[in-house]
Amino acid sequence: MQRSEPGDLADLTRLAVASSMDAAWAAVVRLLSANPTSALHIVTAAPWDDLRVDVQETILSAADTDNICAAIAFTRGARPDPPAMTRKTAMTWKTARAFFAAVTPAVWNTLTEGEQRAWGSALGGTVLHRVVRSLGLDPAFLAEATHDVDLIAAVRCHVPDEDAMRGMLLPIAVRDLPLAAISRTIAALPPPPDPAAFVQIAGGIPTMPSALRDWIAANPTPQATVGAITALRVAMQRDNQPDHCRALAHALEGWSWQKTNALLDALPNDARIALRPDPDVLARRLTRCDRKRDFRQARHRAYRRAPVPQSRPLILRSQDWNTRARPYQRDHQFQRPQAPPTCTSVHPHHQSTQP
Amino acid sequence: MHASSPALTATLRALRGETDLRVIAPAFSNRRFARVLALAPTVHPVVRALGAPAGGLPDILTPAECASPALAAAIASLIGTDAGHHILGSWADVAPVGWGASHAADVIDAVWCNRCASWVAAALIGPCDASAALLHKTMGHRQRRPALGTDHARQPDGVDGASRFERAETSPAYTRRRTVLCRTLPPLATDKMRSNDSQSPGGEYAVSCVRRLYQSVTRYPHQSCRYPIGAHATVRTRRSR
Repeated sequence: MQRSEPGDLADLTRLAVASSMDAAWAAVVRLLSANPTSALHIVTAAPWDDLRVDVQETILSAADTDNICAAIAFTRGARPDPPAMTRKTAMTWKTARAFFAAVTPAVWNTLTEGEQRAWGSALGGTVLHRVVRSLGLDPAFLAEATHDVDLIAAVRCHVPDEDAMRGMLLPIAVRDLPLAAISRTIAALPPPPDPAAFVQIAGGIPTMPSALRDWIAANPTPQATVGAITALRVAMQRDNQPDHCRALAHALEGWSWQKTNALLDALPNDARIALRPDPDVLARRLTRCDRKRDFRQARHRAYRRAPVPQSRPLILRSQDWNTRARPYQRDHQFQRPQAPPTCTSVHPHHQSTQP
Repeated sequence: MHASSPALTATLRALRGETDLRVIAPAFSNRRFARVLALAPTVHPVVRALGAPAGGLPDILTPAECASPALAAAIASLIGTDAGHHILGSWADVAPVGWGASHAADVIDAVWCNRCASWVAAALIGPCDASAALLHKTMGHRQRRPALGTDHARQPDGVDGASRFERAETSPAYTRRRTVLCRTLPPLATDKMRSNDSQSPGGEYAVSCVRRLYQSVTRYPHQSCRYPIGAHATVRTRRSR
């Protein structure tokens, strides 16, 4: 311990917390006094309340000279304002990690939504287990947390009961499943105690729209849960479209258009736009100026004529046309230089759907 | 399409209460499905406990589950299988000390069938000649033994072998292997722990035990050899200094 260096501070802190050795705590204070920035390693290695008083005081006393210590002091109520918020350049990922490692729910709830978003964006998604450790089992954090041993330890800090801990981690395991396996897996699981939180975590959305919460409360069935989760997952992933279409068709099998539209209306904005693109935007991007009306009619006929289970993936396929339109236009311009510059070319998929 | 995936089919059967390991073993070969089994409330306790190490989450297991004879028997029955290959790596993190000693023959066979890593087998079996030989096998496979009298510490890219060793020694993979292997050693006496307090919290003593264990079977006992446990092995000799 006498030869320990700043790089050993995290391990030294864990040793001091576990063993309560005075020599270990003294080494921590010595290293911290020489380099206050290393407070980041201390607060990330152990919860604030587990640190000895002299370590806490050393960190708080350096708040005027070090941004990381200032962020920690703000989270513990020793400073009225977070310094990183007043000086934007000071909000780095290190400051954010220290902030989230020591913040309490009371301080977090006093921040405005913009401040919370700023701190969250500075943090990044790889260390969300520390947020869970500090702020509790909020589905907003669990939805994007990585499923690993650190997260288990963080969840265990708040849920001493093993069964409850597994129940909190189960939607994260469902979130990581292949898309095509979600519907059958959820059907084999018992109904979750909180369907809205289950959908939010398994769907991977940090914010839960109130409309979607109401829709889930009005449809407390496993089929509705599967449909909502699959729709959210499909909206977030843009690759491997055929598999997504099959998964969506399977999840929404037997649904009426009215029920499907009700779900789509309840989804977050970005998910709804991804699943149900605006027909005018599609027509503008995919057709020539004089064929837009034909395109809209053909699209409408295609939706109505197709059998119900197969027609839902047409929503996705339309989005697929939309995303593919730009490279098609670029390649096609070399073959058809006479095309009007203000009009886009007709996509082959569109021609096949025309009556 | 995963509708016909053996792992999904096995997972669904386990979720519905199936306990036959031959039927549900494919689920343990897929980490994502194994995690669902480890966390689902309707799964049989032994199957759920098997899903935790198979899913790479051995910390979910409680001490009582780790010491369960039913779980030990279930894992022993999977040694040498593909599912066992996925389970044993994480099981070495939490297995009781010397758990694999009674299954040493099966574990060593699994090593030779590439169904278990050598260092995992050594950690499960515990400190003995068999585990030392397993560590020796690991080094022999991954390291080209230098001819005596050559400057084998100098690497082609000009990096000194010693510094390469230092880098390997601090890598996360090496650290995990060292930690797991050190768990297999007998607990330190209190006076020994105190005598090492000024240098480190006892970890160096355990590491030196493992090193001595390996060096006892090396072919170069007359040289000053330093071997990291696992990959990236290099040799530093007196001649190269």
